[in-house]
Amino acid sequence: MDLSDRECVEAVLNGDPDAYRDLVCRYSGIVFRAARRITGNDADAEEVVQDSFLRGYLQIRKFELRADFGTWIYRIGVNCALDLLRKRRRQAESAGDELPPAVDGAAGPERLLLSAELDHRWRSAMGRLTDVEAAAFSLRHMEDRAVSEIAELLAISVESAKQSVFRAVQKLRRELAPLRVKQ
Amino acid sequence: MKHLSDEELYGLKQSPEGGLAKHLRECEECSARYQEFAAVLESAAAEAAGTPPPPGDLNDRVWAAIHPSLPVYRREEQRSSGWFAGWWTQRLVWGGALAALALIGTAFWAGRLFERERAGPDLASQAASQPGRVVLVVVREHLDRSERLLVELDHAGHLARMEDGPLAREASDLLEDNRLYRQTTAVSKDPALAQVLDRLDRVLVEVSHQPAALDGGGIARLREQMNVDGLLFELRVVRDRHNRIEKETKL
Repeated sequence: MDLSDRECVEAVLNGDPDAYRDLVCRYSGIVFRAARRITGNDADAEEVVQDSFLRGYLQIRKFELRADFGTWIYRIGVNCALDLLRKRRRQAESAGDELPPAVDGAAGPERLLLSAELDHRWRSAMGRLTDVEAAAFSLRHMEDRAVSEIAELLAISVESAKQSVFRAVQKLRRELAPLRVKQ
Repeated sequence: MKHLSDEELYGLKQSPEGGLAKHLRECEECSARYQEFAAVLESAAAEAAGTPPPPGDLNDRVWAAIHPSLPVYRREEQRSSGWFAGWWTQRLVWGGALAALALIGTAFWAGRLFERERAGPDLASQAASQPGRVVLVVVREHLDRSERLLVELDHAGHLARMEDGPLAREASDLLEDNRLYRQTTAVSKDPALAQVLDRLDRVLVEVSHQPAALDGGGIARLREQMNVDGLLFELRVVRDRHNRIEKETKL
């Protein structure tokens, strides 16, 4: 019989770490997708998922049983992804390299419809956004999260979240505009 | 024609209803800028739709990676039994705190009672063996204050006129205390002290009932009638005697 999220958490707190596996299986997918939006690649996204669930386990005593575990671990995941992105930026800056674009390059069916130039421009434009702008934009327009939820996830005000999304849209628009004229 | 702002165009893309849409149909410039916003959001949507699903073995890999690092939590009765147990635990905690407070209060009260029981006979025997000593200790401050008042009264006679408001008030305050100490002195069987307090009582009554202002003549008459100098001398003798007794007792 499947345990509910709350029962899993209670089991963990009662000395059964294996009960945590159910939670990993339920929520690793959504954490992975958000992490991939923010970090831009599968390898980093998987690292974020591992880090998120490990942090979640170690902080599980702080988890309120009345709260939603999925939302809680998703928030940890977004923060872990941003942390990793900042770490990558620091590494790139110290090495004098250009940061790889923060968008997954894996091609899906729809993605194949985009021209190579547009794809390149999009990835490049996403790479020029700040961490918060990239995360806010991805969460809003790719993960379809509400602005209030983004504000909570990124620990910023609703107005700041709204502005971050808008700034990201403006930057992307400016990057992609010449391409549209050419088309 | 006033063009739409970027914020309005972005908002319009998100919710196309409203009067702004009409402007968009009529304004080529705004329409072109609107298309740029639309392109961004469509690209994002295509990106989201084109994202492949997570790897099939993601769960196993994540679990294998974190499992060795997971500590085993010890049983937590409070959390495991839910809110009902939490409610009882809270009651137990509060109950315990109240019981501890009651215990501390009882111990304090018992201690006070014990001290009183123990100190009572000692003080009584001390008072019996050294008549007037305990009383004198208690009334020492009263005698000092009375002495200051008598000295002031004694020297006031040299002034042509003395505003006696503060003096009368001080005499009135001392009078109340003096009556209490006279009763106590009667128990302590110290005739010298009792005599001083009796005489002091009369002086204090006179001073406290004097009119608002006393001139030099009035003060001199009062001092003479009450023999303030003599009372001052007796008071100092009694106080010195008892101070000596107290010092000898300490030694």
